[in-house]
Amino acid sequence: MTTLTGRRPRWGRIGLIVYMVAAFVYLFTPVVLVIVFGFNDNRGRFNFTWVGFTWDHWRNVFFGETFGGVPGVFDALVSSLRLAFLSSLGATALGTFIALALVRYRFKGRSAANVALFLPMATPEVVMGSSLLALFIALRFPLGFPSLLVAHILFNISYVVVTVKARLQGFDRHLEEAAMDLYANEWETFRRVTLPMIMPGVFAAFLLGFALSFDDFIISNFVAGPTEVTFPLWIWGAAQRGIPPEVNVLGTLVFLTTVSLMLANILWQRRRA
Amino acid sequence: MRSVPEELVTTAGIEAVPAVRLDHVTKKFGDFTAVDDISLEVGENRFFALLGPSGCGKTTTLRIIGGFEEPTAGVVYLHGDDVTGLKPYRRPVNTVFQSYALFPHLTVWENVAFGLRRRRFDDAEIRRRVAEMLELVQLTGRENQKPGQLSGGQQQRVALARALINHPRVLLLDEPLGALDLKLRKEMQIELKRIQQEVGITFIHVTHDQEEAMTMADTIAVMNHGRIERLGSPTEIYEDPKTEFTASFLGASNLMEVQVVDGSAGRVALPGGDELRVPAGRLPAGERKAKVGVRPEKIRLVEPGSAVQGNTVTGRVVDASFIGVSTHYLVKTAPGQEMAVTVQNLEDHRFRPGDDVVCVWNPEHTFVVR
Ligand SMILES: Nc1ncnc2c1ncn2[C@@H]1O[C@H](COP(=O)(O)OP(=O)(O)OP(=O)(O)O)[C@@H](O)[C@H]1O
Ligand SMILES: [Mg+2]
Repeated sequence: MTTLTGRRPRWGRIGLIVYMVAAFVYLFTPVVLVIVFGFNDNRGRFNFTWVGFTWDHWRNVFFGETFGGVPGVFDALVSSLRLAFLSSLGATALGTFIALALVRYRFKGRSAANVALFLPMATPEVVMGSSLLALFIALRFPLGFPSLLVAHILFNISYVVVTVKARLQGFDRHLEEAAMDLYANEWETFRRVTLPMIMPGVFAAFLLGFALSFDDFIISNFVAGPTEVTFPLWIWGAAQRGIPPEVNVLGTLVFLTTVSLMLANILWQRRRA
Repeated sequence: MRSVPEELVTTAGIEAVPAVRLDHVTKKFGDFTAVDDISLEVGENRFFALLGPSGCGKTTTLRIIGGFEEPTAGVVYLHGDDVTGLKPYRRPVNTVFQSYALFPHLTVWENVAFGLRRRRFDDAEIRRRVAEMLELVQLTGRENQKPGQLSGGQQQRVALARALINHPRVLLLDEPLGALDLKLRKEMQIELKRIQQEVGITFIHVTHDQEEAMTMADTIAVMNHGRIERLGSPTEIYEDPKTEFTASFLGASNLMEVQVVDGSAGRVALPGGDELRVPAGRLPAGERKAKVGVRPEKIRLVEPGSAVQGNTVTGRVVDASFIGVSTHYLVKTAPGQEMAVTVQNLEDHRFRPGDDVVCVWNPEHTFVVR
């Protein structure tokens, strides 16, 4: 192998490297810009041209009087985290059991259920958002955090089911029978054998749901009501009046948190394998 | 080795309550009948083998006893109690699965302790019994390894330990040696037999390997198409298989169509007119025709004209193959009829293809099949 690659024309290798670097630059330039402009000592309402380096915005975020000196951003962040956590938790709990039922049992309406679960993923978000709003209004369901929670659980469930189903597909049924043979009842079997074995899938589903919910703008924009403001909604509002660099700082923090969670998940899975 | 008197085998469990009793058990999957009206009894402390070809319903029968499958009809008794419909975790039996089904996320120690923990034994007791059990299956020192880090034979022993530690009154084993290579298989056969005698509990062992069943079991049930074809001790069913299927499943045999001359005296005649004798009582009463058989290793070959006693059939050697411990002959006895004969190499003289010979065997070794 090594002798072969060693004798390859150098231009091929160089071309490959250039192509790879270009692809990564293309992928990461926006992310890098977000991070870099969090340190920009900007003038005016906008933060589009580089002026000079400053720690001010980071200091504002952590030590500012109203959390970054920008009204409402802290509440928006908390609202989004709470929504992401609760909706993903709810969707993971429901979706895991739905996945179990779909993989385990042959019942009437099983294939219909499979299709129905796929629909929310295929429906354009604007359509889903507007029809959900219509539904909430028709039902006189309180708009705000409750409607956001219901909507987010709804679109998260499909992704959870798909993720957990993939994990269950290779699951050896005999393991559960062995547990029952060894005096574990249905609940203990689930708790001690099934759940630990599908846990990586369940956890991945939870993270995915969390990210999808935290990130969602279109559906949230429809159903949030007049007072509830999530982080993406707040940025949208702020961007119309000019974007403060504190947004970049928060974006950087969210990005770093997500990346470290993903790394932790990968390491954890590797250790289990 | 402990040998079991034959009359005990068939009557076992009639005085005492049998460990397992199936009463007209049937299992259907849709239109397909996997287990067809099986009734059997397995006495206490037996090593019982369910033997049969692939797809004959062995696993299904075992799963019905274990509680993983509900019979479509019939009743399952464990030690006299009707357990039909009881969940697996409410039955005093444990199973060694065909695929072992060890919990991959738990260590060897946790796997073995699983049953005791579910039954809320106290920690000191669990630790003591797990150590004892791992010692029995020679896995001391592997407590903290995961099943994935063990060899096939070691995994098999963990599966055995995990089941045995619960002191079940019946242990169900579904082809536990199926995944092992031949050498390890032979070792584990002896090992399993040793453990069964040591712990003294009923083993029901599923296999499709007739040699394995005969080596290990004291009672064998031969299954075919969801039914029990023959039940008895290894010698009993080998010497008198009673059905054509059992005769051929348990090894080679020479089967011959005969006319019944005198049923009560055990006299039958081959199509050529030669008369054979069959142990009295083996021939079905009132039949004009029958099928008889004899195992290749029960037959001797002699030269024509020798003074011999017993059943004789004349023929000509068509093939002779020397395989070390014995010589296999193929003897043409009549148009379209050949007999396989296995002769131990006790004498220097061997027949060659083309030699005229007489096949001789003791009438006691003639069996009648349906
Ligand atoms: N859940 C099921 N649904 C439908 N058919 C089944 C089911 N389980 C078993 N069968 C059928 O019942 C028959 C007996 O199966 P079983 O597993 O008992 O065979 P076996 O004797 O254990 O065979 P093997 O030696 O191959 O393990 C097979 O023909 C099988 O296809
Ligand atoms: Mg089987």
